[in-house]
Amino acid sequence: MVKVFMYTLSTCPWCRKTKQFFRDKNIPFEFVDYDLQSEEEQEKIMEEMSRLGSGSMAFPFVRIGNSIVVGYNPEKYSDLLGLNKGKK
Amino acid sequence: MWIFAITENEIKEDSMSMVFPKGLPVLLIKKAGEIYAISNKCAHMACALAGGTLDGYTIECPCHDWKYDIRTGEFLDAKEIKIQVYERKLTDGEIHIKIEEEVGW
Amino acid sequence: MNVESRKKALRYLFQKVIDPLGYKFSPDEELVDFLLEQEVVLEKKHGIPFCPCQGLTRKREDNMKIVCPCIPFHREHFDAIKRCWCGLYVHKDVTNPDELRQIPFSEIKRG
Ligand code: SF4
Repeated sequence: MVKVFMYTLSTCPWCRKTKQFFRDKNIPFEFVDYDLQSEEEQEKIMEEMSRLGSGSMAFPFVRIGNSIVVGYNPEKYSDLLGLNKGKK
Repeated sequence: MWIFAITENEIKEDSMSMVFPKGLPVLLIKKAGEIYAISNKCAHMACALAGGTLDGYTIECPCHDWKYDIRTGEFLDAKEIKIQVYERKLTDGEIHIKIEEEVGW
Repeated sequence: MNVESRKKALRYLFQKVIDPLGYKFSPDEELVDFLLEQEVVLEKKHGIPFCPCQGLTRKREDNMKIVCPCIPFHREHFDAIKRCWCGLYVHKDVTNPDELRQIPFSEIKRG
């Protein structure tokens, strides 16, 4: 199964919805709350986020396999997970 | 109604002075010999602009760095947002500013 | 300070900022309440009601662009998606915020 990882904020409702989306689909994922990390760790995350192409500090930052989705976007998550196959 | 605000030589070039005509928080700023009168409250969270910094005709709020043009009261990043600017006139070395009867903030 | 009264105060202050920009509080009251509460928490921690959905860095210049309401600094982005990043505010003509998507600015620029 494709690996799902996300950077989130503990204060962000869309980050919660994102986690809920994956839980509902029984898809295991890992996450790190950016705001709860040390400054040092935050620098590293920031660097990684900008390297992977997010031009801002907007959360959630979701990595599905090798694809990045910034923001709560269930349609995109489904596409990347192949959940829409056979439908439509 | 015109209200006395300050005497002209009480305020130095490039400096600011807070006055409270009719209790209103007004900030006077002297720039290139001209005295401008703006609301002392930032349109964002009502911080006192008097604690901010002046750069040319731009005043920057000390709280979250919102910048305004002291001539028009316009917020530089979105001109739809304005702080009140007051009309003023100089008579016999005294600056008077025009206050509307019912000014809300 | 009491959280509920501070939420009310922020609502009052921010309403005056967003109105001339063409935005209103989202009709999703639950979301609005949650976000304002997070802002009060952030304000307690940092002294500033920062955005609950964008990350702080060590640069003041960047952080000042994510103080709520941050619409003036992200106008092109938010106007395109008809909501702010958090969805606390939406364009005045929006009646169903659930139809709006959280699209990052980088994708809008690409067209
Ligand atoms: S994205 Fe919305 S809630 Fe977040 S700071 Fe900007 S205006 Fe406020």
